[in-house]
Amino acid sequence: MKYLTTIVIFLSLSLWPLSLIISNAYRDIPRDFANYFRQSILSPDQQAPLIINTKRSLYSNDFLGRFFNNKITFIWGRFKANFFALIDPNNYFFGFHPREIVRENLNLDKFPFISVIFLLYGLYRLNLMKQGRGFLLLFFILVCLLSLANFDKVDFILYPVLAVFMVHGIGQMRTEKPKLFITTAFLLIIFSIPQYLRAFVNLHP
Amino acid sequence: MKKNIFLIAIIALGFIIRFYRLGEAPAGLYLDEAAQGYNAYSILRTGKDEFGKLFPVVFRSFADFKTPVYIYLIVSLIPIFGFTPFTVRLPSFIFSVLTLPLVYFLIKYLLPRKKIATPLALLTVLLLAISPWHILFGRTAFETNIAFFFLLLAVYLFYLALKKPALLIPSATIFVIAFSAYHAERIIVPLLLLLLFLHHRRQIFSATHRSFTLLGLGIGIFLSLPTLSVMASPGFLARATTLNIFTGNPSGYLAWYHGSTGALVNASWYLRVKEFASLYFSYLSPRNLFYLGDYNPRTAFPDLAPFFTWQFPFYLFGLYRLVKDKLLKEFRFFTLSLLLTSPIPAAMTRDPFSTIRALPLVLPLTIIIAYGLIRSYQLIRPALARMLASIGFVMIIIYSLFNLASSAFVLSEHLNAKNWNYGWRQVVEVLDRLDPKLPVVVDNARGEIYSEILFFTQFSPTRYQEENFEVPLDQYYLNLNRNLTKKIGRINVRGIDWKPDLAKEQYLVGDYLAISRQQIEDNHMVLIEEIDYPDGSPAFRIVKTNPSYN
Repeated sequence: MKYLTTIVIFLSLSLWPLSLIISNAYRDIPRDFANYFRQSILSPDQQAPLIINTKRSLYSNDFLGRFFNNKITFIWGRFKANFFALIDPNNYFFGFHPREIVRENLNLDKFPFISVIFLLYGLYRLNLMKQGRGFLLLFFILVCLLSLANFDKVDFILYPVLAVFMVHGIGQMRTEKPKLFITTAFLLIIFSIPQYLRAFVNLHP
Repeated sequence: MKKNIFLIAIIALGFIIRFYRLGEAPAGLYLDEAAQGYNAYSILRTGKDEFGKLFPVVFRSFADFKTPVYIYLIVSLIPIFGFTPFTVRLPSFIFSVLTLPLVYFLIKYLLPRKKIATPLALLTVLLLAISPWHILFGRTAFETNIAFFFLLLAVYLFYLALKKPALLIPSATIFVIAFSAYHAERIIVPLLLLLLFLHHRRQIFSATHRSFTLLGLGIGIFLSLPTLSVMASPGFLARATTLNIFTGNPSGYLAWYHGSTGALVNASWYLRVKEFASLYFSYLSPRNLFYLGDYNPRTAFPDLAPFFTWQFPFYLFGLYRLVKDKLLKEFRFFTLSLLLTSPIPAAMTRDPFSTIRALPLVLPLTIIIAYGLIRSYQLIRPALARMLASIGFVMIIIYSLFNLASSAFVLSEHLNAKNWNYGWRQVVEVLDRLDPKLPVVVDNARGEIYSEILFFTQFSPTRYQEENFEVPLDQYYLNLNRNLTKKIGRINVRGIDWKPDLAKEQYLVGDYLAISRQQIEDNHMVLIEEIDYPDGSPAFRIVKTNPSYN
């Protein structure tokens, strides 16, 4: 069981760093950090006034037009786009939707998709985790900060927090639901073979 | 008494939101709606659909087959309300509103003697009453909404039958109606029934219930036979085959990769399971539920997700509490069962997030949000803070209503009119004013619009059936051959064939691409009328040819 747990943890947590290394994307992370706020949600957009004014013109009531279509709603929309992408399980386990090409890094498979079961179990058993709420709070603070700009590649900063939840889920499931753990581990090993092999294949020749 | 007043007020709110400009907003009538309406009209007048098939079990429609329940419901309403877009959308409205009290009674039943039963039931109904997801399908002619109502009614009757076994018979009957009413329910109904049977196996197979259970099963299977008998036909399976993720190359397949590990890199079992899991999770993803929504402009309001953004934290908290709170028993079982089964049919299709196929999901998600709200409120202790929270909640509901109105009645009208096939009523009105002796050609190069013409001209179904032929009636469910040329009196619906069509004096109707300003000028045609979309862009042009110049 101990070896199986080690294998499960290894397989669950290695994919994201491995993908970054193989694709050389890790080299971009320091640069992206440095440029982070240049691509902020507050940066000007030439199209924005046009979109806002077009929508405003449709309202018979000027106040409502301005209330629902203004600079703040536009910026809030950008924030929401980033925020909800960062908390989307599909971002981490499926490279978003299978037929959705967003950005290069977002389409990386960051964790094997079977490991989503461990993450969910970890969150379900959050109350048994030391500093569990603290980690959850930390996750959402980081997500909010990352949502202020283009988070592509920089979102690797969330990796440790997600890894903590996942390791917690693996540990708890092994103790509380050993049969479920063994089944999930078996599936993880089977599905990891093609998933890891694909990490070595250049998906966009 | 107080709770009844609240319930009536909430239902009234839901009624008003769904009834306001029903038939007018969304502007236009989508071709599927027009086809459903005309087939209902045809059944009413002749007992046959547009192809001459007597009381079909499923309705042939374009390259697809429509489920029958919605169409037969329209049939009964046409004599009362007339043959209008309002009538076509009326069944959706009626069953959408009826869903509200049904949800209230269902939740009350599932949470007996719990302090939170009434507030939770009321809050769920309120959130459903203002839910963009539920409202959209309550204002437009989609079969999914009807199926959803019957699914909930059947489940409610099933629960009542645990105490009164005779109710298993109507429950089984209504499960069959739900099963026949929409494609997604053909997967959800058996799965949900299986879960309910497993969960209550002792009771439904006890001495008091056994005979009713077996009778209900027998009746259910018997009533399903007409639908089951055509389910294996190519026509019926046509849409499922084109949409499902299990045919063709799976997503992520690397056609160019021929390495030694190709069998594993492109392993079909891996790619298909992953795609299904990805799609399944996308139906529970906050990104789709609170931000992106449905990509199809007809099944989403502009700038509005299926749920309001402010509901997101309550979704997370409510889901956590629902999974944790084991005392909720049957309520928890039902909510989680519906939550986990509802995305399955939708996740088997290629679309990234389809609100139409996953409509039953709206209920467990709304329940979860309502539960999260109530559990959050319970965490607030000081009376003043509770009062402020209540005021804040009322304000946010008011804001949500304005947001909904802004999206559904302002933005949607202008931005989505094209997607709702706006303009055909106006085209027919213009054609009615023109010389009735001259023939008309309506271009169908970019859409199967003949149903729109049939609907708005209220063309005689008997004459249409006589003058048009697609397949022999014994091949109605089997043969998918199409005849894209339709004759509707003096109107011919087909692609414009410029050379011969210009040589004959007649009217031509087409969109702005089919008949450009330049073409009108070059061929000396007379522009009779240009019909614009609400945003001012040209929708259709009606012109008269000028053979003397050609």
